[in-house]
Amino acid sequence: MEEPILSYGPDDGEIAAMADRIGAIEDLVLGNTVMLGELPSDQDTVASDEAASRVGIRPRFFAERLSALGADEAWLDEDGHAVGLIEGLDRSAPPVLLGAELDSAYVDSWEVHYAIDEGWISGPGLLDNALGASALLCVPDLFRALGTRMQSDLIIVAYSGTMREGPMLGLVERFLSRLERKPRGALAVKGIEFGRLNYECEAVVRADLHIQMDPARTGRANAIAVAAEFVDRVLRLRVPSRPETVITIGTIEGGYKHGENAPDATVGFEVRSESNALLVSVMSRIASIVEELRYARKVDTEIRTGTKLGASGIGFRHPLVREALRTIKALGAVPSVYPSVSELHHYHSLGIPAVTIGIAEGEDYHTDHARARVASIRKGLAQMVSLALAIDGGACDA
Amino acid sequence: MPDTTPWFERNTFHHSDFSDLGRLVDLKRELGFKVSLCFPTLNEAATIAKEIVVVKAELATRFPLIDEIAVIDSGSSDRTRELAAECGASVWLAQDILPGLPPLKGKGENLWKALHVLSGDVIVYVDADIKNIHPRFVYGLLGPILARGGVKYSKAFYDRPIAVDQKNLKPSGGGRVTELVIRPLFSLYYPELAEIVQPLSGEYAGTRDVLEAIPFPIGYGIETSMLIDILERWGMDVIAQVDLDRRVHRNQDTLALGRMAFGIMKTFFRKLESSGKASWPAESADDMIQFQLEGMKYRRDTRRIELVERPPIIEIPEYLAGQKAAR
Repeated sequence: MEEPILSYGPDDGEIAAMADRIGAIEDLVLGNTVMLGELPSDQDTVASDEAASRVGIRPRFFAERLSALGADEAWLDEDGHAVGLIEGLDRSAPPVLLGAELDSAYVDSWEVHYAIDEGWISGPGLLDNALGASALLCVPDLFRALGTRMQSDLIIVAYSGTMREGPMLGLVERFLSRLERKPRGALAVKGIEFGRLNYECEAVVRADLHIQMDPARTGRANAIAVAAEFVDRVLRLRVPSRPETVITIGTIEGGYKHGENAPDATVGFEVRSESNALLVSVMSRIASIVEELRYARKVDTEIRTGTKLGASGIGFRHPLVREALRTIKALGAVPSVYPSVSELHHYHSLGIPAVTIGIAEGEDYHTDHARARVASIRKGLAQMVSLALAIDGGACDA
Repeated sequence: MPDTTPWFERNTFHHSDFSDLGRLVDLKRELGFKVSLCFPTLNEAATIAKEIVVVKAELATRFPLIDEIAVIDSGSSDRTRELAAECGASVWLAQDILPGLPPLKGKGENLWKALHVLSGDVIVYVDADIKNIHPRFVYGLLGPILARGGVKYSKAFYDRPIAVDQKNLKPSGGGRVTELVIRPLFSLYYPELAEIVQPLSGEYAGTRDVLEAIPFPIGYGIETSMLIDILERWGMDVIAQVDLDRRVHRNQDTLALGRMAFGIMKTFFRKLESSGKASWPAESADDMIQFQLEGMKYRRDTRRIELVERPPIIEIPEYLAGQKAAR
């Protein structure tokens, strides 16, 4: 028998009604998504008439638009995050925070075009994470449409530089550490998948191994061959299935010409584990492999770590988790609960209860044709508002 | 005292000059204007839904600047009309408007017939193939007409990269036909119009009293013809141009641009003659001759490009009756 859930936010009927009312402003949501998602997402892209500025087009658009749509304040912080504030009725209460990655993975071009057809919206970078960010952009409209006002201030933050080529998730920690008032609770908002619920983070290290040949020492040796040996040995490491630990080789680059030995190579890999101790152990074994290759193959090696997060979580019985499950079910979906590797860890490590939710049902996640079912977006937005109200109602205060 | 500021400085704007949409709505109300937005279409299923949704969200739902959105379609074989209707636009098949007239096919026909079915005092025409649609394409054009007394027609110009393939853009300057054909001709015979950065841009807005009183060529010459007629009847002071920043559009091959240049030149010379600036000893030809290399052989291709023109719609009895009934 399921544990009864104490309600901190809207009841099930109100949540379903919210989704219907949000459906009436669907064009506003889609309009925001298209305008945001078609902008280049990389940090250094600037308008041609503003070459002196290093503020990205997308963060600037986000902040300006959030202000235009009715946030009480909106600004760009020193790391290029777009931040907004919607004042609550009780300015002394600790704030609620909604955060989303503003970048879209690997979408740097001006030539990004979205389409709307047969109940789907589609385009590169839509699901990761233009749709998640545009959900935050819609908050002023959502509150207006729902006639909602919170007791707490609501901080909206769209994080820049979170994708692979940027400074990645460390910027999230810096942002949270700089806040004058610690949020009482937070939601990490992703484009997909509506019904997802992450309340735990796996420990993760994402790193690149750089291999550089020195022709004076190695003659005709080849960096790609050394990279292949590294990959082979890493993948043969024995890792336990409980606590689950996974090693993934994600990228490999090297060389410049078909007929020449590659002078350098880079292998991008990720290790994730439900256990901090196991992660440390696996990384130590990888470092040993790299050290051995350095001496045995006479190459220069360097491991550059991009992301390093510890395992964290707020537990299944946390009221925010229970509320999240209730809202998903109230909206007619089956919850999909799993640990994530994301900025969620930074909320947890700073003692901010937080979960990750998804906005829409989607397909073809990381392709040029990534698409979201329009009719599902209203449910994701209803869940986001319901959970913000639940935090405002005390779900994270116990 | 008359304003002696050169026209280019006085009547050239940037869309950001009009980004205070609340103020534009107030101005529209003060003027008692109704605004219509028209998309002329032919097989634009890839972009039409997005264009309608983005513009409608910002300029109808959020700020009531546009009173109606219509698609006037030339007979698309794809889902253009269906998608447009799903997104809330009024959809018309051009041949169904003023059915008593012999049907013609072309963008100018759609623009002209739009005047009959739309109720706006100001009509904004926006091409339906814009990939990077933004509300500025509409409010930027409306801005001078609403905010600048005396302006009755506003014309867009852009930084216009062309999409050469799925991934790449390249700059196109003012457009090849603009720079090689129409700008030299304007400079020769209508130097005032040479002040217009992109006279052939497909996005413009006009007040009904102007649009209903000028003829509409059906084919390539529509933009050229409009500018000459407006200049000759009302002068440059009623014309404004607006920088809409970047517009990404489809690339056209040189042969297609050649046919466009042919049509525009025919229109231009006809205007020149009718305004007494030049006379020609004989009728010009209607056939454009082009060559295309196929393997090792040149293929001769002849295209008939006739100058067909609708008269000022105010001369059409059904239009007058409709306007009278609407009043």
